[in-house]
Amino acid sequence: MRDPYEVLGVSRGASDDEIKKAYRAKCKRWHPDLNPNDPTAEEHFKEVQAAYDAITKGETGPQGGNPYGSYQQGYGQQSYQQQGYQNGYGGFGGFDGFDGFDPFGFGFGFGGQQQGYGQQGASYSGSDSPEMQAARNFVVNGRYAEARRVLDGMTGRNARWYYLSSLANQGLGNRIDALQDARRAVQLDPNNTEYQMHLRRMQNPGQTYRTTQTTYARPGGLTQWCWSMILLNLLCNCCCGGWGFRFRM
Amino acid sequence: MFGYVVPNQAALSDEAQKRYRTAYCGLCRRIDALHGLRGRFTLSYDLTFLNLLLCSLYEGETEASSGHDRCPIHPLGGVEWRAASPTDYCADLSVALHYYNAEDKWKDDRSLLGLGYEKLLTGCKQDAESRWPRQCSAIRTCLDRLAGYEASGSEDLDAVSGCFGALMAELFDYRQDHWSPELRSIGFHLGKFIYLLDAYDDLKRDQRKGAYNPLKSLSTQPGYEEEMKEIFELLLAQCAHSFERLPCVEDADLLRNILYSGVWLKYNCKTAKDARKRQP
Repeated sequence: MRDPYEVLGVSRGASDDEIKKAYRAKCKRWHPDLNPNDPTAEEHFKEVQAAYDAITKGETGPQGGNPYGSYQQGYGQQSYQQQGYQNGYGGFGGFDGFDGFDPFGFGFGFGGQQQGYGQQGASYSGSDSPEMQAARNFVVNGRYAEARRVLDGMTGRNARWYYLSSLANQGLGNRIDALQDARRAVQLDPNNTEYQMHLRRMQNPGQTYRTTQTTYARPGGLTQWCWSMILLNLLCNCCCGGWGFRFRM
Repeated sequence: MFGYVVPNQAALSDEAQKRYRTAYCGLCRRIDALHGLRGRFTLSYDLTFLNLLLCSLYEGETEASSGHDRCPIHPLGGVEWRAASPTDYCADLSVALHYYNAEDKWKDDRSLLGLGYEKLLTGCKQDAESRWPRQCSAIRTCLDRLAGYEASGSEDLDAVSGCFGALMAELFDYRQDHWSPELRSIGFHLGKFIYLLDAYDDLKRDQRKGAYNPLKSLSTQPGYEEEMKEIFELLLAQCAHSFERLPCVEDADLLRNILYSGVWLKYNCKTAKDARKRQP
């Protein structure tokens, strides 16, 4: 495939916005519906889409490696799952990690764990009961559904249980359950650094999101926190054309 | 839907507010064109968001139209509007969603209003169904699954909110094309967020009425508010992450305003109100 940057007509250091604008321009140039008499349009269009994908997924050079290694998406037709849930997420675990276009820091230390995490996380503990050991083994080998079954069959729920449960839920794409379990594990065993690091990794995307938020949020006066006023103001803007009816906050 | 996916107007310039308005009016016009006056009350901010998102994503690929026309609400002066093929899609989804919601209200609560709306929108829903069978079938399936969880009193937040998430994922997946994964992810996480925010907001009322709410047990645990905030952030982070992967240029500022700021307005209002109540 041609160099994706060349296809889109941008330099290697182009910003995300520049890349998107370049894609849009090429899209308008080559979209098959806009070029009904050009038989090569479809091929060019697909090349543009592939180039955009390559840049946003970071598959732009020899260091790309397995492009879908840390980018899994187990929902819908384009599933990259290989053996059942192994190394994959049942739900929308998908966009958790890929190198390159990664404004949320999902790629390193979060999504990257999808392949390697199973072996690195869930450290061995000599005091694990046989069932706990079985659950841990399933987690380490990416067999999250089986881990879930073993864990759900256990009666004792200690910090270790919640930690393994969190890993299993994460593997199955149950993000909220995974986060809740991670919090429980830390609550029950606050001095355990492994549980703390796991929780921090789960909270990482939220932190990045918060940072981006500061650009768009604006603190307001007391009236800004009245939901009825907000809706009224919005409705007035939408339905009253903005003239004379706006309540300035 | 729920009306939580709104812009934060205070953080938008006049020009940006106008662009939001023209998208809103465009959706209204297309609902009217496809479904008549009866469909107009189904107009929502949530679907205005989807309209903006899809029109931006497919900018230049679909025929767009705009104009300045009369409007029943604006007999003088008229309104400016803009629309494209995705707007028609959103118009169909508007009536379909309201139909199924009304159907449920009649089935569950014997609400006469629900029955009224259901009858009113039957024809519109059938039109929408013929054009978008996959999406309409998903609405029914997901709502049924959700009803099952609610009937069993499930407190598994992923499972319960996941039903609504799956519903939105299907709706956001306009054409099952190249952008399907990102659109589904945006819809899925936004759907979960909306469902849980609604549960969070309605908790006191549901407790009073003895109605179902998946957060009943969780709310008695220490750190409940902090945990909910974290959950909301996690879901929106996933949603925003998928959005940033899309090559949206037109109205990207509006979409970001909504996804990073507007969706929090309801939550902020509720927490401010609760804080005021707690003050001596």
